[in-house]
Amino acid sequence: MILGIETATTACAAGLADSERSVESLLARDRRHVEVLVPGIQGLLAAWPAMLRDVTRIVVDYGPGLFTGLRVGVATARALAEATGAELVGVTSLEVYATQAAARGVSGPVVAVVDGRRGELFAQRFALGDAVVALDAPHVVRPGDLVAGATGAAPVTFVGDGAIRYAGDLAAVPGATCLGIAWPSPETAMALGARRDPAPVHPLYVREADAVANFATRSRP
Amino acid sequence: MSTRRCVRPADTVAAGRALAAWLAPGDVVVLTGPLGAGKTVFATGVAAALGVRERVTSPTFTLVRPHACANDRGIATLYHADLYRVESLDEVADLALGELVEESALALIEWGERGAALWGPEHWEVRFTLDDDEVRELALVAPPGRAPVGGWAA
Repeated sequence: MILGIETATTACAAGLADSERSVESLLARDRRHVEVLVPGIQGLLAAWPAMLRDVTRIVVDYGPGLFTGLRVGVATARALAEATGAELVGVTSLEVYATQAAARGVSGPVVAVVDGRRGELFAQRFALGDAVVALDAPHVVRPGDLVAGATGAAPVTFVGDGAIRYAGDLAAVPGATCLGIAWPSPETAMALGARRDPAPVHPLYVREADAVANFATRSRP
Repeated sequence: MSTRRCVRPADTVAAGRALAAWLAPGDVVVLTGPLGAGKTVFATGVAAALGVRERVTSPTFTLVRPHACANDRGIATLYHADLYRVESLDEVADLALGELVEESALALIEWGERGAALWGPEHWEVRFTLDDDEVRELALVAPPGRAPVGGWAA
């Protein structure tokens, strides 16, 4: 069976799935990842009922998102995979949101937006049709710049927790729809992760790419 | 951007107190400038204005030090950080200062330009320059829409 772990927003969630059924549970809304995640997983297993050794694959949202949450989720997923021998698979918060939009019948251009804090969004463009196709890589953008850059002919849908916090800004795009979803769904993540090859997982902290150059070019006194 | 001249250490402390009057929970303040320019002295002024009772010293070796505050402004914790000894950006990211401040806190970050891309556009910056006569000029850059009323130059 599959275990799903979600910590990319202030919410903490987890889920279980096998070939017949799946469940997910919101464990906390308010930044208590380290406190609620492991007991929450134990609770899900007890209710299923199943044992941790029945988990053969762990799917973890590795970001981008709330870094203080992601490091709890990714560290827990890696530790459980190490201890049980389960396969480890990462999915991004942005692709989970885009896939949730598709499941709700959205088609055409979609921008998945995760609250990046400090006045910025983590964003990625997708085209939704028969499949969910990423059109660019996850990046950091200010809401105003995202609005200014939205020039496509077809009406765009913004999906994610960023579409809640910045709904007012994003509504400035003509024809735009905001689909606010407060946290990415573990069930959607597990469905995506079920079909993917296992690979090492590290938190995706999109800002790093920009900041490394800045750090490297600054000489130490 | 406006600048403020500080001749004596007491002037630098007063500058810290002046900035503190404009700060709110969630703010990140980046302090930049050479060694000995007065960044830690400035931090003592900010801390005093926010009701920090304990002594504020350079957190160079601890990277970040939380100070409990007593004020009526909703700022419960002052995180005083120093990135001078940080070797890689991973270490800066691990501190997650930009997220910690969301919980009724404030961050003062010496050598904070080393993590510039992590703070986003909404942060304060105080740039310290030091001339040959030990006179300091403190240039203040406010976040968008937060230009201090009453002025900074003194």
